Amino acid sequence: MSHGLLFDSTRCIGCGACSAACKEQNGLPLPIEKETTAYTWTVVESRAGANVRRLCMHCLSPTCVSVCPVGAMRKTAAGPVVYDSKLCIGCRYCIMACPFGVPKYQWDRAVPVVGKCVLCAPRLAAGQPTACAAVCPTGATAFGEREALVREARARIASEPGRYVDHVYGLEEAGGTSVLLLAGVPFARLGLRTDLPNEPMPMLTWRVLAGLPDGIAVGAVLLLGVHWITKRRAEVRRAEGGADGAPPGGPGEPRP
Amino acid sequence: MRRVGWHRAGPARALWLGALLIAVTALGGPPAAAAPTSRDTLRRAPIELRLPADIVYARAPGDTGAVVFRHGTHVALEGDRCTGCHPRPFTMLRRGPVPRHAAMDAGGSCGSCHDGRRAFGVRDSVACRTCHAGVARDAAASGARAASGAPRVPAPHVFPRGGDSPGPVTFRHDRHLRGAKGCADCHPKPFRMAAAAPLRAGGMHEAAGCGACHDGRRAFDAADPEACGRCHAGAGGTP
Repeated sequence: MSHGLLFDSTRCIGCGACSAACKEQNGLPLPIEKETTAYTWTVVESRAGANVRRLCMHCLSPTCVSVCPVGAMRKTAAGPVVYDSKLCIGCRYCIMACPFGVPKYQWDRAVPVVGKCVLCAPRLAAGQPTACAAVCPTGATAFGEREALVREARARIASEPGRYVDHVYGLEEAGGTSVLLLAGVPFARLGLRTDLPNEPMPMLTWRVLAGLPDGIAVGAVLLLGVHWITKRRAEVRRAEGGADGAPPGGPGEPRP
Repeated sequence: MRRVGWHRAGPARALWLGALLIAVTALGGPPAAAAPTSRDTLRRAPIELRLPADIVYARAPGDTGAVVFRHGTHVALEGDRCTGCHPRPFTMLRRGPVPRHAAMDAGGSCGSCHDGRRAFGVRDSVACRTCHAGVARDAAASGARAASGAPRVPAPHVFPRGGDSPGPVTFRHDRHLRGAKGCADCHPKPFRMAAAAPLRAGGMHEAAGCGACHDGRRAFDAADPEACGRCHAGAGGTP
């Protein structure tokens, strides 16, 4: 039941309706900037003769959620990765961790918070599509259940192989994302990362973290053993010194 | 147990898939090279615009008629961009209040573009009917008009006879639109859209005026003595 978006770059004319509707839906101040900021959550960029949207990919296993120390970022069952500014402590770890460079910070505010696309979570809860998908005049941004969108994306590639690069971006990247992309030019030329692992990014952390309990247990046993041996040896030496009289150089040696 | 799972599916496979992906995207792949390039396909592929339905503002007392707002004619002039009017002055997700003329006169609402410079002014008495044209009572006729996509154009302009002119000229938008791709062919150059803008007496035959198109190639030559009557009423030549 997880929802998402399918953005088809070959259908986008760059009209900017998505950006405008996003501003309206989320009460963000104008103008619509050239690139995403804490106040502009989606933009259309013109690259390599194509139009491509920039927005949060809404990863299935989001790195921002994984690194947030206070749980301000949360992946919901409905699909969106939502953000709670009331919990945020402003550490900006999410900004550093996101493989797509999505979360942005309000650098101009005295009490700043993070800004990013939340996949219109309130609209989804009301059973509506995202604002960007609702206003898109060409159907370049389509809203639906992720499984259905994956099928649709594959069907489009199969029916018009000359039109599309044979790849659904977001199907596997960083463990899969709720936002899927289709394009007619290689994704790298659209400014999208093609060097991301197909395993969920938080696994990089988990692999280390999962080893920690074992490491601590082994380390503890080892240190306790060393402590016991050292203590035992001291006891033995003291006992032996007691039998022979005072050890050489010990405090029991009478001064001349 | 979990650890074993992702060790097995871990770095090696991701690396190989990643390398393969990069290789495929970088080289384009042999099948893609044989097929027509995606850019050619892009240029040929028609992208259908599904614009919102016409917005009808009922006639208010004192108006010459109801206003029908069409997205099609406006988006074409904005270079297919929506951001000229959205989300300000007009919201997209829900319909705002009915625009008031007082707000337009003050430069808000429609008046933010219809200011007499970017587009004909909302206080331009000649242009009233361009918006306040009324709605056809016959629903079928109105549907047909909407389907045809033909924009509503201003009423004919009558230019009085000048000093050495053979006769007055009546300019008809509808006739000229037949040969044009859209309003942008003539607006804002050579003709500004503000209907009240004075058109220079004389010199209209030059490239800065009607001569921009009436040059003997795109349309009949304005300097052709045989053609005078085609514009100037009461003059000789073929009407």
